[in-house]
Amino acid sequence: MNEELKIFKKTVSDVGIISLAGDVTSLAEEQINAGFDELAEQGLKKVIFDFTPVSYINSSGIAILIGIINKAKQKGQKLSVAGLSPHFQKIFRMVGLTRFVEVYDSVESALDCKGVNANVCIPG
Amino acid sequence: MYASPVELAAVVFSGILAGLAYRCRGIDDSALAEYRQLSDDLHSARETQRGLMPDMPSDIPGIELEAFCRPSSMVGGDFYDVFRVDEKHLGIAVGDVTGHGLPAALLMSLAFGVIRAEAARTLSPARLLERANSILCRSMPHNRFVAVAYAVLDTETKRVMVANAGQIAPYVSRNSTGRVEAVDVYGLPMGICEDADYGETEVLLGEGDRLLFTSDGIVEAVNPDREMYGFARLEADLGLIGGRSCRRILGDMLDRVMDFASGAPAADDMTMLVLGVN
Repeated sequence: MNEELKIFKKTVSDVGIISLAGDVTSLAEEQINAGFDELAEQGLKKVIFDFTPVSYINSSGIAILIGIINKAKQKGQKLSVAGLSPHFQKIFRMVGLTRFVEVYDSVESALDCKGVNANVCIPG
Repeated sequence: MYASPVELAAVVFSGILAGLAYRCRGIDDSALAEYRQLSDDLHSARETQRGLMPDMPSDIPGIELEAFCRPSSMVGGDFYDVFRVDEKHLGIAVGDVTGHGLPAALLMSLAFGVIRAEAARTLSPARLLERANSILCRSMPHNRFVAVAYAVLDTETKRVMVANAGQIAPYVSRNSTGRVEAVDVYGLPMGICEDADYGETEVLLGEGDRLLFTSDGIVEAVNPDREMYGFARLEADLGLIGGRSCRRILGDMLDRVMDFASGAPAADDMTMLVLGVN
């Protein structure tokens, strides 16, 4: 399986949202890192990765996210993930990622906990 | 006798073509030789990798072990290992290095060696993962890690201590009830965070019980409609294995996964190991 990854970025108040569509594999590394770096440079307090349209994340994809977690930690940014399928929620728990990122069912519930509502879309 | 300019040009052009053809022949030959060498090396690497993974011991009273490892390319990043830690204890590891192919195979050999070396120093699977992780953190390249489920079996009491560094959680199939239970122990894959700590949990195996380890290539096998085999199917299929021999379980489970995939190519290595008490 190899569905090319598309990435969309937007900011909601001081929260960055990176929506991924396609497969999260080693082929997506540059795109995901560039997307995160671009939002991280804006000094946002929190970044949410939205996996709603993602059907496949392989171990290389998990490795990319671990790299992002390390970057966020260094910058003092909070990282959340939203929209993971039940399968990948389980995988995230098994690989211990739930100790480092907050997991939400949807972007809305991830935002609710921050209490922000404005929506400014920046196409990726 | 002088040739006309046209004849001369034709002769020169033919000469150039002949020269090019000769040189291309040389390139073809050397490329082919390199390809053959690479192919031979890959075959050797595959055999070496297969040789690392041991035959299952068959001389331990009341214990049955079976395993398979199917790389998705010539060599892979998945591995299993079973070895005697001491007279009474058996070490069991099922691992998966990020990616596949030669880079994963090289790291797999490293992880395999580190686990074997450290296993002699502790009977605690959690402590072993911590030590192995600390060593691997110094050697793993960027964005690579090793997921390993490691267990130590007391061959007399049939008590198994299990720890997990990012591998798919093992499952226990209980013969007396037919229930299938995930062994709830998780942790970061090795090679990411040098001071990662790991927990361990005890599984007591009774007569006819089976403990099954898998890699993510099993649960993430896909069919032509891009559906995943997934945990629900794995658990349902494991619910049907009660009382079967470990060898038959492996065969049946592989058949079920391959039937589900319906010919779709495997995107990842597939590994399964079954420990049974009889």
